[in-house]
Amino acid sequence: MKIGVYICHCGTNIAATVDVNEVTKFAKNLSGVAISRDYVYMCSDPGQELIKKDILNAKLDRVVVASCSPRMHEVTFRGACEEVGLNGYCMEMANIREQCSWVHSDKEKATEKAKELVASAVAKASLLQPLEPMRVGVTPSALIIGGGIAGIQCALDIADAGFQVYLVEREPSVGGHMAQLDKTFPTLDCSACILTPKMADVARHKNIELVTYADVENVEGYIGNLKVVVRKKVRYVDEEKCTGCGYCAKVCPVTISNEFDMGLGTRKAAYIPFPQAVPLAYTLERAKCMGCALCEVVCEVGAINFEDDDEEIELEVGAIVVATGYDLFDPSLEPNYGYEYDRVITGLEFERLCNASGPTKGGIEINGKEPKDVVFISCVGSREKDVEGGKGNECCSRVCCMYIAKQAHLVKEQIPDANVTVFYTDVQAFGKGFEEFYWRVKEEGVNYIRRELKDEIKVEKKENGRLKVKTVREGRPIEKEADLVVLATGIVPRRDVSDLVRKLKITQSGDKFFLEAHPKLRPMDTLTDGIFITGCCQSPKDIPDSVAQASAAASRVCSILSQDYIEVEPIIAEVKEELCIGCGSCKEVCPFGAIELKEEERQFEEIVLRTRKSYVTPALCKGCGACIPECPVSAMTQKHFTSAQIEAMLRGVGVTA
Amino acid sequence: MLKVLKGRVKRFEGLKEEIIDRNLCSYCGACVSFCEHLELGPNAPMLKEECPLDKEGVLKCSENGTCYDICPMTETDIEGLEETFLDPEGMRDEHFGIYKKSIAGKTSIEGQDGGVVTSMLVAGVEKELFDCVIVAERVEGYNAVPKIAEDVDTIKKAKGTKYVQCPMVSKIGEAVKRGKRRIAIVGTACEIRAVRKIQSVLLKEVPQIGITTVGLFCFESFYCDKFVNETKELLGIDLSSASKIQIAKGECEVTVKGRHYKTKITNLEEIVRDSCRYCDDFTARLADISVGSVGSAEGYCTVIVRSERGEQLLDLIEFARGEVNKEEISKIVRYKKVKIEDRI
Repeated sequence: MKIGVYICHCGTNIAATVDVNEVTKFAKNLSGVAISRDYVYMCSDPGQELIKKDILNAKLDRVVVASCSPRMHEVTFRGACEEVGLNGYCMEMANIREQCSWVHSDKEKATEKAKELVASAVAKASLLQPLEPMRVGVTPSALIIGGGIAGIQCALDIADAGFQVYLVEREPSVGGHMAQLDKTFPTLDCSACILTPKMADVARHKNIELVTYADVENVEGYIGNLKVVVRKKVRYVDEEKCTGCGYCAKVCPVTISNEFDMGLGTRKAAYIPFPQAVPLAYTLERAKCMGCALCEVVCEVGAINFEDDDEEIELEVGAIVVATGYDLFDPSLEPNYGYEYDRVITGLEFERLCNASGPTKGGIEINGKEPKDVVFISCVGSREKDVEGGKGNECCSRVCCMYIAKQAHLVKEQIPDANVTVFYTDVQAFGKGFEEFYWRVKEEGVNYIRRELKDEIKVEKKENGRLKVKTVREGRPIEKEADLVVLATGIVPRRDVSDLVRKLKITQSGDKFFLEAHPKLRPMDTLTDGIFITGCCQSPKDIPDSVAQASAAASRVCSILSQDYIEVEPIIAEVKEELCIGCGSCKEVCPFGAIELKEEERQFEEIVLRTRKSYVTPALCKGCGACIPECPVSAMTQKHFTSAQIEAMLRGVGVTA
Repeated sequence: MLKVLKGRVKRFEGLKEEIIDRNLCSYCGACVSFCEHLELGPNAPMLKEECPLDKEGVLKCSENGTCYDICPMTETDIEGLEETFLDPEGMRDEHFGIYKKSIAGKTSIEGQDGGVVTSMLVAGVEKELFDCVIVAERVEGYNAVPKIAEDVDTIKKAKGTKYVQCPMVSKIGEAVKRGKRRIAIVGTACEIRAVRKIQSVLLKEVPQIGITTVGLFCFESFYCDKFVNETKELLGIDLSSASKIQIAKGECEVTVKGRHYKTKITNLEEIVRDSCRYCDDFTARLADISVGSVGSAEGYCTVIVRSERGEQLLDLIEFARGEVNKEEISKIVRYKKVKIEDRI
């Protein structure tokens, strides 16, 4: 065994705290070590060259690099080894930066620790086995879950690249929250005007199959080879036949509060949520209908079918993008905001109120009257770390400051003599053109009053029906009367987010939004290969950020779909069949569904024995190791982290059994 | 929270309170006709499952609840319905209502009187003026059940007056769901009123459905079981074996196996349906065409044509003409009105 050890200075990142020379000398004397060197930046080209030359010239068969976390450069050094013919899995890293130099200040002790870490890595290296990445084929199609702006953009990008896309939307129409908005900040473009062409594109695109009014039921498989079951909820209207003429809605006797208009408007039991709905197909909400069947009578194309039923569709895709969006914080959870009063509305309700296609045709009015005193309250359900009784997010929702500014502007535009007050705590005007827009709104006469988040703000109703908003400014109580209060409710994770977490085997961060694989470098990846997240399901963001992230996710998907095959990490669990007793405890703990129990027949002289054995699906196993200690008979081993290797590492750091 | 709120909708509960619980239900079946959440009990409709109006977000079903809005016993804008459905140029008479003409007729079919109703229905189906007719068929134990008749035999089987309530209107929805678009219905004033209310509440924007209404003169009807018991007691007969029942000139005459049994109509006062005690519409004034025995000679029936559609139907048949005695009809109408006023 010839082991080469390479100690990195990482500039001064390591060298300032660890005596690199001493560690290099120490390594030279370790068992099996043929060469030990140090270099200022091992990851640089000359650094890698150093390793490569030694492998070739000194015929090294194992390499240890002591530098940063393997998360940073494991792939780099594996690549260097592979280039000169050494299997990449014969390289081991010792993390002497994150786990040593960065967290210690005593140079002597840090050096001792670095030595132990190196010794440990060398001990393991001598037991490393070459491994080959597995190759799996790729189904060149993608599933996008959620047809809001993020899902739409992502679908269009992937479809434009020539791949088949299935866009699954739970509502009867795509469009999401963006379809509900009036103007968008800070440019004041009409939201629907910029969105609806994209909605139409999605419906028309030859590579996109739109599956609306549908839920993802089940997901199985692994990157490149995902099998998805989608349940298309029964519409009672044949989407293909429906021409969207609306005759069914006209004769329908049942009037229902329209969710799309936030309950400010109405629809019928036979409905489209909004006039520009895509697909332009009606839905019959059978649960609230009286079954008169008049819709069926008047439908000229025979699209209505009372015998219709849910439909299950099976899809095969290579990658999935989750773009399920958000819910708005429910302000009734914090009664101080007075949401029970009819003059207190949420930001999204305001959007419907001032939207030209909304229930008041764009008139900002409460019970038919224009409000003269309008108060906006920011951070409702956001930034609630220190808010007593807070039921919202700790994080900032990133859109409220700007939508308040925009809505305040719209009030001033429509009702120039209105008094508009904003109770705010910091105006987070961070985006392009945001700060400028904020100043413009202030110059239009909108009165911004700062309050601290920890100071309670209370909305009360006066006897004359008007409202009173009470809070504290600079330590002194302040009151404002209002006939309309708009609550800038924040963005919270979807109520049923955990359902998708379970089905897709992805993870959530502490705030319950979906967790990205890396907050900076892999913000649209999940820890499950082939599954990506985009838009507000990952964290609150505005439209341009959602669109950008959607295109980014699309590009990640395309880079998978354009491959003939994908290499999958071979560091996975393996069953020693002769030891396995088929108890299934490994299967129970596997978070990725990678283990199955297979029935087997064994001929034993004249007797046929039926046994069960665990089987690991290589592409599904993420190598987390959960199954290893679970096995009562030690039949499970983890490649690249075998018990023998780990025991050797422990001995390397001086732990003895 | 600014929301469109549910107004004060009467819904089925209101119907129950105002009509059913006060015994005012005419058992026409209109309410169950289009609503799958209601069903007919032995004496009145009832809710069989949750009313959509009780579900989240449902604000209105028609205006006050379709069941309430189309009930012939809730407040009704009679003049408005006359304007909508009857001949705008028709003659107006306090007792006849609006009419184009009135004649007495006798056809070759043997019906209750002149066989005009049966003849018209047969002709209407044969000449494809409508696809089906809702008729009342007599069943075991002297009861009547509504039937959707599509052929001549079924129509002919339903001839003759029954004098008991039968939920005719319940079949309109069923006929529509069975694909029928041109429907004829025979019924008394309350039933025709229900049909007109259905047309104005539900079918205003549904020209695909055409309904021809043939009204029957009706002074009152009886609770079926009580009618059977009472005739047994008074006349000693089994009503289910009666071949004909005729109420005319203050007497009820039952024919059993060719023998005639008579009793004064005043003896039957106790078994009259409560809802009939509040009805002042003897001639079914909202029907396209109304038919009855009063006002014409024996063997003839009086026919009042009120609309274009009614006239079209009458034109399909051949009949012998007789004289109409309008005063005789007016007398009964007046008598019915007085009877109600007495009660109120």
